[in-house]
Amino acid sequence: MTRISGTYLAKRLVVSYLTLLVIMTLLFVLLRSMPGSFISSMITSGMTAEQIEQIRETWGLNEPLWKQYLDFMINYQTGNFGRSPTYNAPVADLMIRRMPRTLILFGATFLIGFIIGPLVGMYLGWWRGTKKDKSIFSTSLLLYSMPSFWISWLFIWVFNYEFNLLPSAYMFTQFPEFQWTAVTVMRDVLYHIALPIMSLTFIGWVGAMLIMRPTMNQVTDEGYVFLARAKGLSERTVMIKHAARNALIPVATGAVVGLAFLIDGSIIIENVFSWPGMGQIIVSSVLERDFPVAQATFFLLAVLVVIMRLLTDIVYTYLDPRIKFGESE
Amino acid sequence: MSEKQSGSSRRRFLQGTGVAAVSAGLAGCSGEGDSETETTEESTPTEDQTPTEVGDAEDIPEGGIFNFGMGTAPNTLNDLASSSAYVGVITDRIYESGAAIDPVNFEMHPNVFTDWEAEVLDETGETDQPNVEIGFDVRTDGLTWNDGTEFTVDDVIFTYNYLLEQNPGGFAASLAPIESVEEGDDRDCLMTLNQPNGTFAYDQFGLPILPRHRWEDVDDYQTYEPADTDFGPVGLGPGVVTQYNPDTSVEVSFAEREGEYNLSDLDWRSEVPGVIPGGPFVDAMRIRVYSSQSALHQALFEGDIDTLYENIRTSRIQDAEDSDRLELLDGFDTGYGHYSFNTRRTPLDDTAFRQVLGFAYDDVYWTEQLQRGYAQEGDFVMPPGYTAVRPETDSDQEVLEGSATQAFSFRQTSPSVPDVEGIRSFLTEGQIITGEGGTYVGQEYPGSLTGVTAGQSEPKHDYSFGSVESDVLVNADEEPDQEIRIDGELLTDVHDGPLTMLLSPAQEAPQTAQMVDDWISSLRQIGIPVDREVVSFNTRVQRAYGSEDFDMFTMGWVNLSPFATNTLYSLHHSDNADDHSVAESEGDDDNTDTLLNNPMGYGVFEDAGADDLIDEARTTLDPDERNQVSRQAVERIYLDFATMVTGYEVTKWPVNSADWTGFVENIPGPGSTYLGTQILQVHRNE
Repeated sequence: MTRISGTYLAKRLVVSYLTLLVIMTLLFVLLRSMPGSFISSMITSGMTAEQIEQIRETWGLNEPLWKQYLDFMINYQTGNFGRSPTYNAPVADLMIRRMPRTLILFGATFLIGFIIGPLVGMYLGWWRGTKKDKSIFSTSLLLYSMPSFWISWLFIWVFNYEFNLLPSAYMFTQFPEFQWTAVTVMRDVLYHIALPIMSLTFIGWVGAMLIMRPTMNQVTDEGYVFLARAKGLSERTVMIKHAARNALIPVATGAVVGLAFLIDGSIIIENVFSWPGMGQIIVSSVLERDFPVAQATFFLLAVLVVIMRLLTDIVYTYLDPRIKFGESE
Repeated sequence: MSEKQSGSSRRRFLQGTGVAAVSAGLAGCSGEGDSETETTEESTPTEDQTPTEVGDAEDIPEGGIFNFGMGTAPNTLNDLASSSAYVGVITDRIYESGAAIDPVNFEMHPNVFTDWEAEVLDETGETDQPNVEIGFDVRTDGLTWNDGTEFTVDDVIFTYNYLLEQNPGGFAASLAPIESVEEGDDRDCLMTLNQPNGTFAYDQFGLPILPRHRWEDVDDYQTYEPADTDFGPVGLGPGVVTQYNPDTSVEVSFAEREGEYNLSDLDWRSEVPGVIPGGPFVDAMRIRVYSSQSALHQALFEGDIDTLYENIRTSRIQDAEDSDRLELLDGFDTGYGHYSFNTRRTPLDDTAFRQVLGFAYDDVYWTEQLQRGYAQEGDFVMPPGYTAVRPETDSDQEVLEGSATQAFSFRQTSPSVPDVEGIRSFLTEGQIITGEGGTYVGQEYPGSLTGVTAGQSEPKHDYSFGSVESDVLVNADEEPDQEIRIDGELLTDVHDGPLTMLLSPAQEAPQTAQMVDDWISSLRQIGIPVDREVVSFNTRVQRAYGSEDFDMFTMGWVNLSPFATNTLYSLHHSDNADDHSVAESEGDDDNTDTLLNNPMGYGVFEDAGADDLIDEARTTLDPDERNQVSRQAVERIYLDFATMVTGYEVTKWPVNSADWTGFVENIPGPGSTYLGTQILQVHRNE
């Protein structure tokens, strides 16, 4: 049964598109409001007025602001993110090179965190107040209060420096003495990704658990749970099929927020593990005033969040049959 | 010391960390001769230095992979489009220039060009007309591009004309004086300059020579990426880029060029103490990029890399000394740390007042306590390694010794306690250190070393001290008993608030933050209302160098030219200061946003500047005369005190001496500025 109408989906797509337009406008305004000229870092002592003028011309700064804005909006909607002055390359190439690396790391972390977190939350919420609940909950709170970079360094110290079990940097072996094949690539990535994922998920699952636990506890008093029990269903079936499914809705909402936090964390984790993804260039592009890269990075992250928000709406309808988007229309 | 910028005419910035450094390979001028004509053959250095002793090239074991670590990725292999020091680590192994500088004596030597001769055409020194002709010969025998193509004189002429046409920003200062480069009659090539430039071999002969067959079809140098081509960057150097993952690792192979590269065999190399001819001796240099300084240092201690770009962190020096594998090579700073003052603003427009700011700076606290002895007290704007252009050389004094270099040192009644009364008296009695000998705030000053005097002969303002009224001092922990008055008014009224020091957040530069606190505390005790403003490195660069919207700021320079003239011009000449008379574009204030290296405005006003001396030094062809004038300019800048040099780093470059040897120490920037020298001669231990 379709629980989300085509019209509603189309409307949501339009709203998402408009949201992105607003974000693009904000990016355009905010980055140009930063102190100093956009090109000042490219101008050095000894440059002639003609050279400075040439730079202004190259970056389109001699155009009126409305024209710059229009060009920016059109270019972005056609996938033209411009050229990076520091990387001396098209920004799109940089994004294509780096975005998959970040998605691999954080996609895996996101997935693991949002499997473990709700499962533990479900269990603790169902058995709330027990010794197990109290001890696991307080331990997880302790974990949650630890800074991710500190955990990362701790893991590096243990698994790399002390026992030399896992590498502490990069996505691949840098100067391999083996041949690259599909198998060696897969094995090498898994070998390198293990430590960053362990560091991220060590505390990353707690957020989802913290949402799931109280919601789960709430639904234990719901009528449909009593009904399920009255039907004689096993406690495990009642917990998973009837209670947990309904308790997952806030978790799905939390996943979007969680994604934003993960991206936030990527800046730290990618730098700690020398993981060559987006997190690294978010920092460097801002520090080096590489606005084309900074602009495109923030834009793509916004796109990611908007897409996730859209997907969440769709997921809602499958989690809770009572939710029907656009049915009245 | 942290947060430095490169002071070379070609700026290479350390990216990402906000720290900046090192450009490589801009060559300088050498040879004997008078001011009319200067000829350089393969010259013989004469200085008495004591670098590392080395063996004969024949006995040197070859092979091995030298692993190198960096904290920032090299973003491109286009040498023209980048000013990054990290890009230079690779491209400097690929490209060669006409002349080479030896890092021990700072003499210029033939490289791709075999010899040259300069002739002055116009004695008036007027610019914008043919002024100096330099004929030079090009070494073509045995030189090939690293892709196997034959090298010709035509490549050299193409290079200069291509650079003149494209005018890349990083080379702007070196290209500006070049009128033309064409085929010569008596010599292979003839370069015409529109102004005399005593360091033409450093500036104009230091440009990278480009292969015509690669660059002639490149219409816009900015969009060209050699890494995207089938071979990679093509140059005359010893290296070939065999792996390029810009985000993580790069390999430069030297084995690929075995038997083809002979510029390291030139005679002069065997005559420079510590320099081994015949390199490189390693098969390849592998560069690994780490995202954080902590990871980089840990990789060094774990043995993943043999050395790293730049110096070791002060906090890890002890670890390195305790390591069986690592050795710390001593070297000199190539720049200095500084607090600079905006001479456009009252009372910073007065040399006497600025000198007082020096009296309040506790040098010993900085060098001995905060820097744990890994810094030297600062005085002149030329680091101690560049002795030829330091004023002490004029009077045969030891560098950094003698009270003439201590004119503005900390005045104290007991250790770390400023001589408040003495400093106040200096101001109220209308004193100023002009360069004449005397006793100033209880300290003997013998007079200037080079005979120059400060631009001002007397203070610009009347100073007095009265009751404490400004909020900054009323609420100050120091509880001063008096506050300064300038021409009878409170400083906070004259200046519209207290003087403000721009500095980095303490977590980024903790020692600097502590030092600034100490300095501000001393100034407040004297009765001078000073406050601090914490801003990021980039904001500070923009505020200071872009819009000159500051009172005082702290920063540093590295990679200054050993010949001084470029540095003095770039950092202390009014040509590179914004006089706030011209708007950059319509509707703007009269203040350009262009980053100019002289934010102090030094030389803009009549009573503080060294323009004449700097101009004279720049256009003097004779090295001895040029150095003498440079020394005078350096001392004039010292006395005018628009910049307070706070110290020089004692550099410690960590290397894996268990496996490698052949490094040259006791040179400036051993692991950065002169990395090229090290790479050419590092080799395996027996």
